[in-house]
Amino acid sequence: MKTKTYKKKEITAFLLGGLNEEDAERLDEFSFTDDEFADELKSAEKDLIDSYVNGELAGENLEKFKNHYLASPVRRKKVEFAGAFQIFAKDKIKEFQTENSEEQNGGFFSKFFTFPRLSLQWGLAVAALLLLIFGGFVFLENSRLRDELSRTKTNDDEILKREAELIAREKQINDEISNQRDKNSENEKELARIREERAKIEQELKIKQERQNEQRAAAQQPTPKPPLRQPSVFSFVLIPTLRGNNQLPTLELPPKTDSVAIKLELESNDYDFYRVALRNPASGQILWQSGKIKSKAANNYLNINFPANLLKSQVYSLEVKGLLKDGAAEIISDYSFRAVR
Amino acid sequence: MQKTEQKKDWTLNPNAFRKFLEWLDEGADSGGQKYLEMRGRLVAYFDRKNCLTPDELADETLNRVARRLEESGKIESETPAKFCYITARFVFMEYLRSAKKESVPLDDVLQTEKSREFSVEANDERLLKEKMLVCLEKCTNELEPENREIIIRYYFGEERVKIENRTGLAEKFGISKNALTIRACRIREKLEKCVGKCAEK
Repeated sequence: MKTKTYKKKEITAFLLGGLNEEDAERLDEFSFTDDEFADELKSAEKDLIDSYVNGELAGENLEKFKNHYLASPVRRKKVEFAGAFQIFAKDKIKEFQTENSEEQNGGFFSKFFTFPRLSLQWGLAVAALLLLIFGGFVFLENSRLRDELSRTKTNDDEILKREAELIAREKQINDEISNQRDKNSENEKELARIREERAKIEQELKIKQERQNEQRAAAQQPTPKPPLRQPSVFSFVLIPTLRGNNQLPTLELPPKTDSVAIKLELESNDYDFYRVALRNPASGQILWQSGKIKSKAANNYLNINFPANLLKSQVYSLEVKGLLKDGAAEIISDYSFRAVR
Repeated sequence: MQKTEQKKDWTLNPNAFRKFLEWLDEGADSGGQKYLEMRGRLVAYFDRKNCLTPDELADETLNRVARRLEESGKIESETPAKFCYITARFVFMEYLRSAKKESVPLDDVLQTEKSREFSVEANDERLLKEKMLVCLEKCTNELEPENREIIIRYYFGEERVKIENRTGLAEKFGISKNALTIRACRIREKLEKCVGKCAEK
């Protein structure tokens, strides 16, 4: 008849009036037509009552139990019975527990051999055999595990040794690193000192270079010449030597006189160009000769200029020649003078 | 109205009752167990519906089915269980209509009943419990030792203890848990009836 397993939760809701009308009617019908469900329902109802009596219900179910389930006198009687039964069973359960305990402790072997429970005996024999096989397996497994443990221990020793070596090596490396760090620190200090020194030297070099540049610049600048002495020119005017006149004009040359400028007064200005020569009358040597000179038309003068160092303290003569157009020259006048230094 | 009166006037005679038991047994002789089982299911049904008189309504249902069976000679449209359920639904609907005619809300009736019962219970609670414990002792002693152990160990304790006890019982008696449940449930119903009768004395 029964085609499904009913959930305990649904049955509890049904008993507590918590299902909708359709579901409640469905389960009502099953409670008549399905013997298994009817049994399940009765059993669930008893467990529900016991749960309430034992204080195991809580929340919504407890509320529904109080408000719905206890509303019926028939059901309240069931609850009363359950309450009394739990008190009664509490004393009685000890008797059964004691009896069971005595059975388990005292009579196992005697029952085993005296009661004709063949299936139990065979079962126990098979169990003993299995236990023996299992014991053997456990022994072998134990031996294997011991060997493995021993090997593991050896491996462990090696690992420990290796670990110790590694620790020592690590310490050594750490020391080396530490030393290296110290050295690095010293090197850094040295490097800093060198850098400082270098900076100082560079600074000095810079200063020196600047000085050198200044000196070079100073050297490249033109050497300040002593203030130029203005060329000293001694100037005077000579007139043609008159016959019979034995008195010679005297030219007293001051010291450091550079040049002598003489204005020669012509008797006539008949030529376009003239040429003047300074002659030493004693030796007849021409000491200086001018180029082509054009007379000053308005005043009939000839300006000449020659170095003063040509003159010593003696008599000199300036010979004037008129230049013809064909290039020939004619002596037209002679001017003598006495140089005094 | 006339039909209802006819039903009420009809009484279950021995011949009709025998025929009714045979019909419930569906060919097997249960010795009246099927009848008692069906009556118990009807009482439980009306009780779940919060009817004030579930026993009377259950008897009314059984009478109607027996009468129908006697009048018709046979009922083949439904199984006995299903036919009893359908009849019970009609009886319940009539009960609801009659309750409304009295203009007393069913909830009020229930509440009044509950309050009255509780006040009685509160006053006599200690005495009732003592009496029930004496009756429990007496009734469990009437049980077979195996049944006595089953009823005590199966229903005692909280959930975890119950689970352990039930597993141990099923193993001890070599039966399935379902079989043990049904057996324990029937022992409890038997014990409950015994204690109920004993406490009424």
